[in-house]
Amino acid sequence: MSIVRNRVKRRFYTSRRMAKDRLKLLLAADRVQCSPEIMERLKEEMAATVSRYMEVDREQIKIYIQDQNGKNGRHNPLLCASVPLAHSGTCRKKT
Amino acid sequence: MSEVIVITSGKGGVGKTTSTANIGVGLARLGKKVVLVDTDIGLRNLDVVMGLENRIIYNLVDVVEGRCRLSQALIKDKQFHNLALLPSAQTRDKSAVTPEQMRSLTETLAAQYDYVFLDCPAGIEQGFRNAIAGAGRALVVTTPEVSAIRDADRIIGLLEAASMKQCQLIVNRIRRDMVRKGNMMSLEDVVDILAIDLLGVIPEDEQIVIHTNQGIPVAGTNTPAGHAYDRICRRLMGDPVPVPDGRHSFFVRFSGLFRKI
Repeated sequence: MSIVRNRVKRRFYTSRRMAKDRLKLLLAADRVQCSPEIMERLKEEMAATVSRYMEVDREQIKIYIQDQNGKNGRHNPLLCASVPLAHSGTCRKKT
Repeated sequence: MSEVIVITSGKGGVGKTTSTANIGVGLARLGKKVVLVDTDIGLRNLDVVMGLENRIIYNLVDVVEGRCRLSQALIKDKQFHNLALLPSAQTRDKSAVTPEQMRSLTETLAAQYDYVFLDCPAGIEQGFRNAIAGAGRALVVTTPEVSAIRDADRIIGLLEAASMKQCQLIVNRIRRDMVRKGNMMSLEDVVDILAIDLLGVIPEDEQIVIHTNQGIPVAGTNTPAGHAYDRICRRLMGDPVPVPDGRHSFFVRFSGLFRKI
């Protein structure tokens, strides 16, 4: 099955599309000129803030800057974060 | 009304010098008075691409430092008397000239010519700062590769920060067969990513190598790249020449079939 899946993936996800996707991510981050250290600090603080309310899987948190096409054809950078909740994650009650 | 135009890219080897030579020749063919300035001090190449390397006596640094008059350093083209080249120095480095000196030099040249083209060195350091100092318009050359596009984006950012009035894109070395198979980014992909005005597209053409070997620019010859440069020149002058959409027309495909037989 995986051979078929790989074939299909190669057929539709061509190197042309891969290059375009990679560049879009890379340039969005380049344009904001945010250093990796700042991104790391932002991630830590965001994790700390969210975990005050919900139990999160700190290891799996990802933040990145993405490109979003604006109204006037210009590119607008967008800060995205994916914060997976821990398996037993429940909303913390006020204590 | 003359224009000072810088041709830049960030990354090296994408075709700045080749484009400068060919756009210069293309505009000279259309009757314009054109001067090409090689601002790559220490790594001069525009002279050899134009086939004028044996005629250099004085160079840009000599002019700036007052060792000769500007007219003594300008080299007339072999074919077109309305085309001139100001070569750069080979034995000096980028710090030999300041942005202010470049600005006054381009002002002097703009008074005598219709178009002043500045061939920018690769990189974003002083050579780049010098080259853009006197320019009112920038042409950013890129190829459909990730590294060239990333550098072009950085250059566009720097040009905007330096309040360049007009920035336009030239996409070089597109291979339509590879784009069709999904193995190369298309013209539309590149324009979509960089989001600036497109001036033209040049297909990959082995004639570029053959002509450069001989020191003859390809503009004006009956080759795909030659036609592409001619279209760019007409668009630079304000003619609304359409940019080809990347698909071959029925007749072009048909003639290609005959050529194979």
